[in-house]
Amino acid sequence: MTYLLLYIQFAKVGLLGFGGGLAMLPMIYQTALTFGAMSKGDFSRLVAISQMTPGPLAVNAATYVGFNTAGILGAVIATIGEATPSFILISLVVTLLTRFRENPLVEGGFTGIRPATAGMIGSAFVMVSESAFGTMDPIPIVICVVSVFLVGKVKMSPITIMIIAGVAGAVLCRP
Amino acid sequence: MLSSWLKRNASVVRIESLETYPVADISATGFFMKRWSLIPPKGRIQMSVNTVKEDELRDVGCLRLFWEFFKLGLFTIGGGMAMIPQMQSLMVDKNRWVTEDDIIDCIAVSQSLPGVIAINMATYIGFKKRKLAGAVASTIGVLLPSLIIIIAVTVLLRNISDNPYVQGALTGIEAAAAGMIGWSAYTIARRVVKNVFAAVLAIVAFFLITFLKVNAVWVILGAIVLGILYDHFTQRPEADGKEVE
Repeated sequence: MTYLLLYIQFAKVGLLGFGGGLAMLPMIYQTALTFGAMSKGDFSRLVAISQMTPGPLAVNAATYVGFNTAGILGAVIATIGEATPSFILISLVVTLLTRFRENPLVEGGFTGIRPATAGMIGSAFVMVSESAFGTMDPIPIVICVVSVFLVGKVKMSPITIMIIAGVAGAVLCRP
Repeated sequence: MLSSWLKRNASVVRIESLETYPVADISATGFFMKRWSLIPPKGRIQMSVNTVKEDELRDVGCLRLFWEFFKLGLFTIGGGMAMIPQMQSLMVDKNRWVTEDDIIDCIAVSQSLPGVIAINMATYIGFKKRKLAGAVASTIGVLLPSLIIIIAVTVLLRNISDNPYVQGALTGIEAAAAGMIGWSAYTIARRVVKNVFAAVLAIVAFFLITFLKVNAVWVILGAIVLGILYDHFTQRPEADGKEVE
């Protein structure tokens, strides 16, 4: 039963997740909550790790939620669930439609989805922040501000930033 | 067809013109590709000089598709758009499995449809080459690295997460991740919010999900309906004589 639920819930994420990994995060988090297998802290930890490991963020998240809920088989099922709608839709589009982007309904839909995507990434930001700054310790906040500067102004690689932040955290944020 | 028009009119195609929405460009692979000048800055795809024609395409088996997408999944940090340059050089220039047109269509379609962009692209190319079997092989290939790595990392962390140094490092990484997500929210908002409608929609979506805990599914569905209505009432006069070029 858990397996079936995992499959259905993640198929829903795959079917309605627009805008790439970060924009899909709130939806995946809400899905994770329905399984009760993880806390907000677990989830934002996963997001942080996903930024450093290979593979698409949304796939990593599905794997993680599935694994924590129902072990390896759960991970496989959640991931396949997330891929199923892509699979069906893409196969249909490749065989049937070539002009679907010029359809006014599709265009109109994206007029709405684009701004909503920005809102959802903002929501993902709050989610991860709540966990990172929960203790009101000033050091994580400083690390956050510095990393915004490094990614935005210095254009440093995210991996490098993550490694620096990890080392800084190990030294300064030890409980 | 979008791609044939692009081909006729430009040797350099701007990815931005193909984007349905901007995708967060905080992926490390994208960064390295830019640094090594594998893709020119500002999101351009350089069309290769030796155009591959339809009848020059080579065949490819499912096993090879699986293996190539496995490698793409393994070496692409950040996923989605970061995969494009490697995919293009591998599939078009090196192996002649698909044409540039196919790649452009693949990007456009993968971004317009819901779901994980990397999965969409793998399915698209796989289906194009080997129908359903190819799509299955490519998709499993691109998924497998994530599956293995995340399970390994999770198990590893369970065993060492009591260590204070590990906990400190994770806190630091989380803080940095928050910063980068905030940055990408800012850059994307700056690009998509072009009028009052978009601004209100972005803010309302943010509030509904963050504070009222509304399910994101409803927010997406609502945004689609509102977008269609908005377009319907604002662009009515020119809707019929739409210029494709």
